[in-house]
Amino acid sequence: MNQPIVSVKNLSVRFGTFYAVKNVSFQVDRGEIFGFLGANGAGKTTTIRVLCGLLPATEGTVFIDNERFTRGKENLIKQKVGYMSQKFTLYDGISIAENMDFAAALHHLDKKRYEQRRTELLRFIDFREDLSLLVRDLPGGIKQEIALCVSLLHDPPIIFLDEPTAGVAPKARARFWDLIRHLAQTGKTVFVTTHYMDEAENCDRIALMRAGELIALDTPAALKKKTFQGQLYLITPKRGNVPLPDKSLFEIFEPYGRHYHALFKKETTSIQKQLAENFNITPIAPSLEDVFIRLVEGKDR
Amino acid sequence: MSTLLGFIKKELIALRRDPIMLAAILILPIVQVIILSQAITFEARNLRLVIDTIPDDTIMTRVYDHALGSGWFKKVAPLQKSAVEAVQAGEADVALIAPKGGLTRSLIRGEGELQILIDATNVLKAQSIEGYLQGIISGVLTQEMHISTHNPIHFSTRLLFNPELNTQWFLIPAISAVLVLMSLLTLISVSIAREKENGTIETLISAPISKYDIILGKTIPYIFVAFVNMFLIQTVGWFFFDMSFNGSFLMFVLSFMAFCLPATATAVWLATYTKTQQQAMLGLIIIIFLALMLSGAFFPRENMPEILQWISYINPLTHYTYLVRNIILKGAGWDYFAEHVGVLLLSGTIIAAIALKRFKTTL
Repeated sequence: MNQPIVSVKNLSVRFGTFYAVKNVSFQVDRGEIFGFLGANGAGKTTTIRVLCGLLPATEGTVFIDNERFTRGKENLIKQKVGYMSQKFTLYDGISIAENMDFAAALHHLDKKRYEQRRTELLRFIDFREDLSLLVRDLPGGIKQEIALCVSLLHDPPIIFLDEPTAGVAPKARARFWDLIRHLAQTGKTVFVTTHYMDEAENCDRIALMRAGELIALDTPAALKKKTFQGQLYLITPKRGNVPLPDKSLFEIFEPYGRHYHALFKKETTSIQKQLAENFNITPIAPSLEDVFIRLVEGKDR
Repeated sequence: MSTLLGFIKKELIALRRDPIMLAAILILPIVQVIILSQAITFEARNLRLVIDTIPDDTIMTRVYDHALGSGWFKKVAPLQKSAVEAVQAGEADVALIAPKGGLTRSLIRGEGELQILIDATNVLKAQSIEGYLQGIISGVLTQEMHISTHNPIHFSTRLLFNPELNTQWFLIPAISAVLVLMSLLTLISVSIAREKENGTIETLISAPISKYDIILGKTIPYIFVAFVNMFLIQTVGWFFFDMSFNGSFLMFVLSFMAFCLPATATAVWLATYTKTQQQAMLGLIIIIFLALMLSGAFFPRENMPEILQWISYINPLTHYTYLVRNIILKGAGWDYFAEHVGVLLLSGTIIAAIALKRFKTTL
């Protein structure tokens, strides 16, 4: 049977009396793109840091590639893990080549293996520029791609990406996600946190975190289906000064710019007819953003 | 006006919430006042005086008693060596050597030469000693022996190790010691703080390496930089100020290496408390200020209150300054070297143990 590459049981991380992560359990299968979603302070980064050995767990057990994270085994596990932090994997003041040399030294790669991996990875991201360019002179998207290469240099079976596309232009984000999908196709497991719900659609499974707790875990399609039993509608006012409809009619009535996403408590033709005087009502498929707002943000409101 | 008040309020609130900054602002001035008022004086006191004369030389004994009574000089514990050897070995600051047959007989005969042998490695001390002793001897002769018109004997003052009282010779070794400390402390602690501030520390601690790898990787390059710095300063001394190098070059390099242990350990220890480069710089100001003022590099330690003298004894910079100054100017021997290097290694080991315990490879 295919063992999960990550297995987390009852993980808690406490700072003083504050629980950043509370009793979280989940598994990540080999070769999947596993998304970790949550608002700021939900415990995503703390969890990822524990899984990469950057933070000690207060309680619970963590297995990475069948090795239990225990004292004395940190370096064994760190060899199996690639980690790309939010913005800080690379040193700005040195060149791309020097950053890669340093990463190779940190991971004890011999010269031959390093050069082979470097060539493979630069080909993988299709990088043809001068490696002597300083990192600080690179555009954000390229910088993140180089950071990805640096994190993969030692060829780990799993890579943890903590908000890898934060602050990156949309086109570069799309390109970065192409790379992530390619990685997964080559058998690597990708564990990724993101704020962008459109990106999360690319994940095989998604874990939703809220206030340190895991509140949902499933495929994007299953999450949408479970969260929205009824039909979701896009409601758009026909004019600028239309009074809002009675909110008690809706289970969900969330503003999206000048539109609203709405789920009726009780869907009847007469209610729709009544609303149609002032609003355009269009049935839509729920997005992950709808799921996120309902499950994560909705409970905070 | 409300904009200005808003600015002032925000700055004060930010200051109040930064404990390291607050400590630097409130505690540092208090420490400075205490140290500056107690420890820093150019007036030399507690100078170690030895005399060399025959047993019943009354006038020489009177001069010695007056010198000790003045408060400027103090006795040296009984020595196995001659007065000249005591000054050469650094066990006395000055030796008063009576003419043959004693000073009393020499005065009666109206001839002879009273020698004052001064260790001039510390220019400030040497200048004071000469003035003090001539005043005391003249006082004894005129007031107590009623010899007023002219001194029948000659004074011969010999300044050992820095005969021209060249201030640069006194200062350059001390400057080099202080700069080695400053460069090691600053480069290492700020470099570690920068990793934390920029977040690149995560790259280091997510790699399969130990804290020893991180610490060595963060210190060895800067030890090399400090080594080059030290040589540049000495080279300036040799070429531009005609400074001679009288000691063992091996001893000089070994002293540097021994000093690197407490200096780098202090830098790493400081870095364990700081999260930003600004905090590291504030910590550095406090540490460098204290180390400098309590080292004897520029202000004599002998004048400090006893408690500060003890603190200055455990200050690694005190021992490194002594070593550098004495190796370069005096050609100090291995026994002298062993004592000071021993203190450096011991203090370095203690600080390193504390720093290593505090240095974590987790966030």
